[in-house]
Amino acid sequence: MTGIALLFVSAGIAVSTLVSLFDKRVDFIALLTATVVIGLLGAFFFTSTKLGKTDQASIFTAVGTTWLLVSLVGTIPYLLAGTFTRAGIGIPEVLVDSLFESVSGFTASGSTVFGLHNTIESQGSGILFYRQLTQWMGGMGIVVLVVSVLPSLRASGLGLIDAEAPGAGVERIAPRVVETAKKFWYIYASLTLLIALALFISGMGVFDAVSHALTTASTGGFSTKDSSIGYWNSGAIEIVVMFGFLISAINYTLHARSLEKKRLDHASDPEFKSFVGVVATGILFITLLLIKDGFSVGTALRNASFNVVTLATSGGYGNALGRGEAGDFASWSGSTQLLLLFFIIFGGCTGSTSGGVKIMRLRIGLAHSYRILRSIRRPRALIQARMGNRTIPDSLVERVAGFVIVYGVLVIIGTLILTALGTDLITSLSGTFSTLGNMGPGLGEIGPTSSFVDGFSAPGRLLLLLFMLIGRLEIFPMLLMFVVPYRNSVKNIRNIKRDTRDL
Amino acid sequence: MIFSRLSVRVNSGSVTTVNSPVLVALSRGALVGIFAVGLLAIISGLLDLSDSGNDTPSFLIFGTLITICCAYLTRYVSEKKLNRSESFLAVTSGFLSSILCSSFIYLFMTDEKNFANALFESTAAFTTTSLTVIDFGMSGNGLIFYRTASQLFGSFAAILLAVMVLPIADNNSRSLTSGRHATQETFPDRRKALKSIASIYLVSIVLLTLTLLTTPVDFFEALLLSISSISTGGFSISSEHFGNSSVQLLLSAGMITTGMSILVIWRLVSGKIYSAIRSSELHAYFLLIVVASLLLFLWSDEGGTSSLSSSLFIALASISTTGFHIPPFGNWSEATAFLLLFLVTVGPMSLSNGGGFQIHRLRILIAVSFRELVRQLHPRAVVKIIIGDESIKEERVREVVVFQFLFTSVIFLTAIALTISGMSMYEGVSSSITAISTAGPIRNAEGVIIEVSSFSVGERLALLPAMISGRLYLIPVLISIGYLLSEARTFLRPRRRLLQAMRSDPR
Repeated sequence: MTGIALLFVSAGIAVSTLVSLFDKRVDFIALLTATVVIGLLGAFFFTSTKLGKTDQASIFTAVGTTWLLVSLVGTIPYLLAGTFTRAGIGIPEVLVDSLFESVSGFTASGSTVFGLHNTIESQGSGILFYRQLTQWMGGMGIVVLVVSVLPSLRASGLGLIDAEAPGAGVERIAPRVVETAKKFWYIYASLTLLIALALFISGMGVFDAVSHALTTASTGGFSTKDSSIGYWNSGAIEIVVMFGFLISAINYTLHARSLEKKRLDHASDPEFKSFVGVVATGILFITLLLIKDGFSVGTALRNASFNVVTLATSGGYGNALGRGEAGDFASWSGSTQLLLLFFIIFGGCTGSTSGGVKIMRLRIGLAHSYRILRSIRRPRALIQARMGNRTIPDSLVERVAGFVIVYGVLVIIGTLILTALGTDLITSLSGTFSTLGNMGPGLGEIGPTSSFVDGFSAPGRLLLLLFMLIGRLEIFPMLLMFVVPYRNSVKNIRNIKRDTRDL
Repeated sequence: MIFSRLSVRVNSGSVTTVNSPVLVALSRGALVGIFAVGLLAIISGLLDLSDSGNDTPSFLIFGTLITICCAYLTRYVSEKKLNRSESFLAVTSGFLSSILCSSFIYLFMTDEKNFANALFESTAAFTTTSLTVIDFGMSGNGLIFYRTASQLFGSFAAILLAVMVLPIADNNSRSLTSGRHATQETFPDRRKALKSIASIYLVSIVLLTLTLLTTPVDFFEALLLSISSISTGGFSISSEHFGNSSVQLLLSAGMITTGMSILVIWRLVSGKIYSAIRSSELHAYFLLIVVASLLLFLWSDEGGTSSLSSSLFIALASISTTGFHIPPFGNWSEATAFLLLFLVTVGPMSLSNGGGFQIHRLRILIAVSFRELVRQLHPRAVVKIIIGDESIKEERVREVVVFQFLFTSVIFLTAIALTISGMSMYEGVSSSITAISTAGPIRNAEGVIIEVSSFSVGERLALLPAMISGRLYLIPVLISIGYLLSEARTFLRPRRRLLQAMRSDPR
């Protein structure tokens, strides 16, 4: 599986190499070399490995290893093009920055180490396109992509998708897993095309429209401009981006079902209704708070809408023209930032390209709390937690609770380490939430106009990139990927001991 | 009889008594709460004689009046047994009544003329939150003692709620605090529980006061510090003694004791030492103290034994949620600020005097997360949660999960309310965590203590619900609110009322 994934990455870099031809061929050689090297690596892995055991632990190992390897080889173009090489920093920091950008790309986080010290706009279009493409590939999921072209995976395919997909499990939308994976990719690709077209009509150039469509559909948030969407200062572009993000942050199964039935089937989904409700309420509250802080009604509504949507969908674009400008939410009042932190934490819907804890888990938490409080009052009553018309089984509540607790533990550990490394508390806390939720920007020193280099030291960034990977795979696959190697090594040691004893 | 649920008075023999379940619960709780305030006022009035005695008449008149009134009114309240929701409502009502009644003492006997401030002071005292808005510098000993002793009352009420009301209220199926079986084993009846807990309190305070007398602290201050330490209230009229290492160590010992479960302490004093020290929660509690103190010591970057004792003191003030006001270290890092917030959130052992989330619940949550990791690998495995030697029931696990959810929600909502009025995000979150954990003081990121008197009235009022719900373990307060709302709904719906009346009286 890893081999195929690497071949896909190589193909992506090949496309970027072609793009670089239109741009004075700045990164042409670097990208071409990367294409060949990664392609060869992929071919090697593909031919030298075969499908082994497919128990749960092996699936986690396979998915985790694929993501780690893809992220690692994803640094090659940056390293060859010298994207992060600058005066005054050593090779280790260049490696960390390249890896950070690569992981942020593939996990569709959108956190960046570009900034005033090393601007995005000074890069060649080939590298920039590759950067956007990493988010697009990672957004729907590399494993989903692999499963869609690898029929030999058969039954384990759903397990693999499940391990990678955000939420509490993937629903089959076709009888065969391969078909399901393909359907997801078709919808994703079509949505990307539509967004690109809409952005082009709204006033973006072709390159920027396509680049931003890739990172809008993936709710990634990388931009080709230093001031992100704020560069265009266009209401139309912001609206297109918002719609793009919202559609992408909704469960893809709903899109697939709607396409199949040829009518919108979204309104029947309780998670969708909650998501829309939460976003609308958030926009309303933040608009009112911004008006209270002295913004005009129009500016408040525009900035509140854009930033709530971008954070609630884990998109991560910014619409501020610069630091301290109207759209820079890191400079807003405490209450607005706290509300935005809520969106950073919860993100969008399950089964979508967005990150975060997910609205469904919040709803389950609410329903379960209500049920327990009622059952304490009426101990003999049989009270069920419900979501829409469906009863929530206790097993699902337990899964959600387990997930949220592990998430919380990681946030506490991450924040403690980051603060011990010298970063301020708000930046550390929001950075941890942002990276675990694959959100992009955070609060404090890592606002929408800032770079993660401003907020965190190199060891801090290393920790955060690990969190991005953990968050992208919804924690467990990454934490449990070493179970199989551990089991094998224990087995080997036992065998060696036995052999020694026999001798 | 159609409106039997509403009926306020039913003739029972020669005395007309309040018989409606809601009103019985409300009035019974209120009478106990106000009666306790009256008693406290009388004791404080008598103690004021040791000073100028200026406040003695006011205290005695107020105290005698309200205790007599309460004693008289008790005969009008039915003695019927309360069910679970009604018990919770009674406790909440008692707590709120004592807070409200006590705020009049601050309003009339201090220079404070703002009722909101008097209410805040009273709430902070009864909820054992180490926050104050009134300057007691010029007050007499009686008033200072009253403020300090209110903490003891609040802490005592909370521990009684945890030990007596919660387990007894849910004999059938579930428990809200940890170790229900152990609680009932140790304290099989209410009378014994009351006696045992009161004696533990009394002995701890006397011992700590006597040992504090060996340091340069006078008797009255030693008594106040002991009460504040044992009740986890953290109130003190001056913080000058906190710099003294011997005072720090003695108070640390007091805070360690108060952070321990009442069951562990009772086992220790009744000679079951092995059973007490086997408690895995106790081990976790000590581990937390040691690790937190060492981290604070390392991050303080000062070195020396005085710094070590200060680190231990600050760590304990946070873990036990006592919250003595000690100035920050010279080197106060962001990590220190976060660690202290974390410690305040976690709090001490369950069934202790402290607030916060409490170690037992945290351990259950950690066990849940490990179970989830195992389940990821073996989805069909039946994995039980075992803490120490105890296998935790699924119902209990679910309640802890809900408690965590509600705890976080209250923190978030309080922080939102605070930040809307202009507070920074850090201060808003830090204040709400401090309030729900009934800890204190509130510090900024640099460790400097923020005086609550600098908060606006709205900000102070926003902290009150978190303080009260935190002190009463959150769920009883929510159940009480739910119960009241449901009764109000019944009252407002004539058809439902009629049906209920017909059910209760088929004639």
